[in-house]
Amino acid sequence: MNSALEAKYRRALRWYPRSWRLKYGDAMLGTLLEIADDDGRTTPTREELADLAVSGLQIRLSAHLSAKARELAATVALVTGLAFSVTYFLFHAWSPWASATEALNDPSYVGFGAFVNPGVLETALWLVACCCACSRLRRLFRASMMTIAALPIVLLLVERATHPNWFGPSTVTLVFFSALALMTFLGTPRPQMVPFGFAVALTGWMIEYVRIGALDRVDAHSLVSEQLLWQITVLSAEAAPIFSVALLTSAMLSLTGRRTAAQVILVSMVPWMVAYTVESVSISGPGLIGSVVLDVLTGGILLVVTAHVARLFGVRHDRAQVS
Amino acid sequence: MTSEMREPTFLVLAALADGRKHGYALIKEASVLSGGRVELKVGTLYAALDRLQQEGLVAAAGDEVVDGRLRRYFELADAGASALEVEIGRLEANATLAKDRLHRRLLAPDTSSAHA
Repeated sequence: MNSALEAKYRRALRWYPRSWRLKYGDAMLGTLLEIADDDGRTTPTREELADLAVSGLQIRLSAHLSAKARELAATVALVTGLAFSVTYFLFHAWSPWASATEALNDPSYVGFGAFVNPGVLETALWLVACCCACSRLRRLFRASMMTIAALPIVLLLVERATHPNWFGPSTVTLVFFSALALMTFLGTPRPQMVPFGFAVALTGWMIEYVRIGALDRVDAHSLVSEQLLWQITVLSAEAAPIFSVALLTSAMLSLTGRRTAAQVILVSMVPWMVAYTVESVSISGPGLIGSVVLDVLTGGILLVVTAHVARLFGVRHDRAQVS
Repeated sequence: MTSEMREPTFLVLAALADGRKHGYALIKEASVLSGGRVELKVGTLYAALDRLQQEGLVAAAGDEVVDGRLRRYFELADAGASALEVEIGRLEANATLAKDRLHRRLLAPDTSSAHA
C-alpha cells in the first residue's frame, strides 16, 4: 500500500466535516486507492482533489442549507449574473453605445478591441456558462464559473497597471459578478428554470436602468454610468428598505416553516450585500467597514433568533426534495 | 419523486439493480451503463449515496476489508427499485414519442422542392 498516497487522500478528505469522515471516510479512501491502483498512479489527480474539495464544502454547507435551497440559489445566481452581463454589455460595453458613455469624452480613452471595455469578456463567459448549465455539461460549467470568479483579480491587476486609463468594468461590478459566480457552486442550477428566470432577471435589470435614468434625469443622449448604477441600486435611500424587506420576508418564511424559500432569499442577498459593502467602502473609505459589519451581524443575529423561535414553537420545516 | 431524476442518480440506481456493489464497482458500472460518457467522481458518488440512503432508495449492505482497504457495499431498496422503474417508464415514453415524431417526418412528403 502506498502510504504517501493514502496520506494525500486523507488530507483531501479533510474538506468534509468530521461526522462525514467518521461515516464514509474509510470507504471513500478505499475507493480512491483502488482507482489509483488500477490507473497505476502514486499521486491524486487534480480532478479528484477538486471534486473532493467541492463535494466536501457542499456537505459542510448542507448542514445549514438544504439541497433544494442550494440548487435554487445557484439558479438565481446564474440567471442574475447572465441577465446583468447582457445588460452590462448593452449599456456599458457595446461599441455602438460608446459615443453615449463618459469614456469617449476622455482624451485618454482606449477601447477594448471593438468594444468599450473588457466587460464583454464577462458577458461571453456567462453565456458559455449558461449554455453549459442548460446542456448539463457540468465540468465546463464549473470551469466557466471558476474563470468568472477569478476574472476580477486579473482585470483589477490590469486596472492597476493601466490606471488612470481604465474605463470599466468597475470594481463593484467585477466583485458582484464574482460573488454570483461563487454562489453557483452551492449547487447545480436547474436548467428548466433558466429561460424563465433569465427573462424575469433581464426585465428587472432593464426596469432598474430605466428607473435610474428617470430618477437621475439622465439625458437622452447619454447612458446610465456604472457609478450611478451602484450608487442608486445598493446605496440609495430606496435600496435600504428593499434589503430590510428581503430580510424580514426571509425571517417570516422561516417562522412559517418555509425554510427553503427563506434560505434562497437570504443566500441570494449575499452578492448584493457584497456590492453594497464594496461600493460603501469605495465611497466612504475603510472607516465604513465597521458599520457594514454591524449591519451584517444584526442581520445574522435576527436570523439565528428567528430560527430558534421557529424551533421553540415546533414549526416543521419543509423537506428538501432531492433528485 | 415527481421531478426528473438526474443522470448520476439514475446510473447509481441502475448499477445496483442486479445486486449489491461497493464504491469502485459502482463507478465502473456507471461508466459501462453510460457507454463511457459518465465517469463518476468519488466525492460525487458518496454524496449521491448518502442522499439516496436518506431518501430510502439505497441501503448499506455490509463492509469488507480487502488488502487492508475498506469496501462498503450498497444495495437497492424496494423504494429505489420503484423509483428506477418510474424513471425508466418516463424515459421510454419520451423515446417512444420522439421516435413517433421522427417516423412521421420520414413519412411526410418532401415539400422543400415544391417551394423552390
